[in-house]
Amino acid sequence: MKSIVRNNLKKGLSGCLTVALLLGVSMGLAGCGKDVPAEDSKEAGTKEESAQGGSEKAEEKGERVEIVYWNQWTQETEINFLEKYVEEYNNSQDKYHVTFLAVPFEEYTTTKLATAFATNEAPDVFECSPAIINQYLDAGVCEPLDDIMTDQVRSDFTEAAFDRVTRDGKIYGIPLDSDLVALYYNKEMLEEKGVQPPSTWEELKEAAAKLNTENCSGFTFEVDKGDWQCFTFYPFVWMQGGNLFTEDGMANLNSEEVVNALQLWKDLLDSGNCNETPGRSVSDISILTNGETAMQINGSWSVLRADPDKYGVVPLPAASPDTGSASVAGGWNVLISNQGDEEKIAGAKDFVSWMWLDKNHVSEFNTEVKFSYCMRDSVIEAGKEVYQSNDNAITFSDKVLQTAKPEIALSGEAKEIVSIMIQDALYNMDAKAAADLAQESMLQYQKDSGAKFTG
Amino acid sequence: MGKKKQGGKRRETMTAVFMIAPEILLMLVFIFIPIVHACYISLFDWNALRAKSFVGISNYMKMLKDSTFKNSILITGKYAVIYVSAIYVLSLAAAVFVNSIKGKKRQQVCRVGIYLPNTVSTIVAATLWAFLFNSRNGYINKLLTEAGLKRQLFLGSQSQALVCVAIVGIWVVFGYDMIIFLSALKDVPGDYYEAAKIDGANAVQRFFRITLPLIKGTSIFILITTLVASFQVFDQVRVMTAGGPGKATEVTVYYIFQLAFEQYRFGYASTIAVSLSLILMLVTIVQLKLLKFK
Repeated sequence: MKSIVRNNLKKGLSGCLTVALLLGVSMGLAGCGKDVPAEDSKEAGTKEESAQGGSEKAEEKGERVEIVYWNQWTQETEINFLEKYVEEYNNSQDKYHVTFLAVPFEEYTTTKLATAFATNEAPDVFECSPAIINQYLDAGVCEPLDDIMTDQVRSDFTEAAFDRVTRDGKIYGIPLDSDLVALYYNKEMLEEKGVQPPSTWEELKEAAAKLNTENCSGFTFEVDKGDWQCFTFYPFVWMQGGNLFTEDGMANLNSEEVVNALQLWKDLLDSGNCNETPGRSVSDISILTNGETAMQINGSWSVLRADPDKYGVVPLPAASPDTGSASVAGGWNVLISNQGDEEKIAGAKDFVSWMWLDKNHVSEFNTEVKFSYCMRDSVIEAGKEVYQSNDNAITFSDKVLQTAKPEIALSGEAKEIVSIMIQDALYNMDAKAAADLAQESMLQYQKDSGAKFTG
Repeated sequence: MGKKKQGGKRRETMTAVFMIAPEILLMLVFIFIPIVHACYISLFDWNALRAKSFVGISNYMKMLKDSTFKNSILITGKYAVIYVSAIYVLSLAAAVFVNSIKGKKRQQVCRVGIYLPNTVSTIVAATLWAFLFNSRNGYINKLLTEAGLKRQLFLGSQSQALVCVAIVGIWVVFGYDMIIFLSALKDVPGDYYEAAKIDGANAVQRFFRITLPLIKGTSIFILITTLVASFQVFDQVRVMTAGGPGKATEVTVYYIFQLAFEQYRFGYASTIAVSLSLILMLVTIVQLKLLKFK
């Protein structure tokens, strides 16, 4: 027995070393990810589609240049859409062959994409949201797209559309969609308690108190640390006329507006009238539709998922009756990796031009596949009917869209500082102290790195 | 005859080599090479996208001043204390209980029942327990309010979240350790107990004077393997709390994950991963010395 135990002890000791493997192993596995067969990908919660145009095309496949496209569109409608058009593209020509891999959002932005670049297994075409785009643009791993962005195409986009994807005057990404944030509420619950949808912070606090019960929280906002928490926090600063960064791009985190917004969130959580453990990301509207909360911060992507007869939408409550509301516009941008050879880059450009610069494809994607806006006038015009199809869509189109500012594109370290500030204010210290601490850290970081931010 | 013997020995050696080779190869690929690679990366500033830039030991110097790292070590330590002590006591108690059950079938049923949670993956268990711990609609809170007690925040409370996370780990693992204890208990000769009984020793005395000393090797094995596992806790934290509320459950491995995969600071994350391994090795050696294991 003793010898068995001793042998096992040795194994135990070697287990100590495994912590050091975390990175190495993860990177090794992620590196293998690209070559995983479709069946295995599905098991891992991903879906890879090799859309082929019949057996003849398959025979020719060997001669074609393979283009790999990664994204995070894992909803059924999104995958169907991609399957349809990737197949159409593959059938439309015989020079390139595209395969796509849809990876669940959290895995995509964390373990999947960065490790693929680290192990020289980067996809030819990929997508980034403002939360991660700076890392890729600053690293110089993206190909400029100026040659495919013709003047005619450019003039269709709004002026600010390329702000987040431009470096040194060159455009590196195609803005695909624009997701907005607002306040959803359960009509029946509010009616029962005689509560009007809140339009100010004070009304929000009062409404949460009236609606809160043992089983159903009055209000749900993101309490877990992360990108989504930061994303939904920004508009509470902006709606007071404030910013998290000054005009010259330096930290402004201990400004009155930031402290006020932190204080509001802290008051709401401390009141006991809000959802302390939503149990999943608050970007999931099911918290409201399952009856777990009476009001929830959520986005335009849920317009088609929340029955407008049961659930209403209002802009995020304003700081006071005299000030307006604000919202944030996030969304994904299509980028091309410059890590492949010239042929692959040319193929990737050909594919994204065909797929994502085509007005009809983008319109269908933003209205029928999912509900989101686009920074292209022609797309908004073409989707008019959908954007006015019910009360909630109208609220987003007529009241929220105009107040939205682009999501702040922060570096990893800067995002961590903002995230810690919000967590500190919610749980560890008073709002002012959390803001002061974050301001100090951000200034130090900006001094060391020279990074500047807008928003 | 001599040649035959020699040939047999060679065959035996070859068989041994073939049997060990796959494990050695896998360990080499998945353990030793990544360890060396992690040590190497820890000397660089690297965001996985750009070329590595050599910074020497400056990542290690930075780590010494990093309050988040120190805090994560403290939280990991707290977690280890809860996890190791609970698993040791519960698995030993369960083993003694199962061992005392009369009847082979009844003993088997009980053993399977206690072992069953170990067949559930930690991610699934964590998701399940997150529902149970829900501050509004969780069954645990429903039971508490039914019993006239106050609703608890559990995962939303800074003082309770770490315990909740530990409960999941304990629930999954203690059945496995119970089986190991049980096999050790079965090795203790029955004569010793009979002799002690004749000498008038009661059940408690028999446990502390006979059982515990005779299963010391197994105890040390359980203590060390659970300690190693406690320092590697990640799944439950990722699923249940994301390191929160505040930093209440931000254990070191979760901090490493955030540094590497959310902030893209792979060099610095490797530095902390290497340091954590060293800390863990040190703690294990101290533990072995203290427990006087030979």
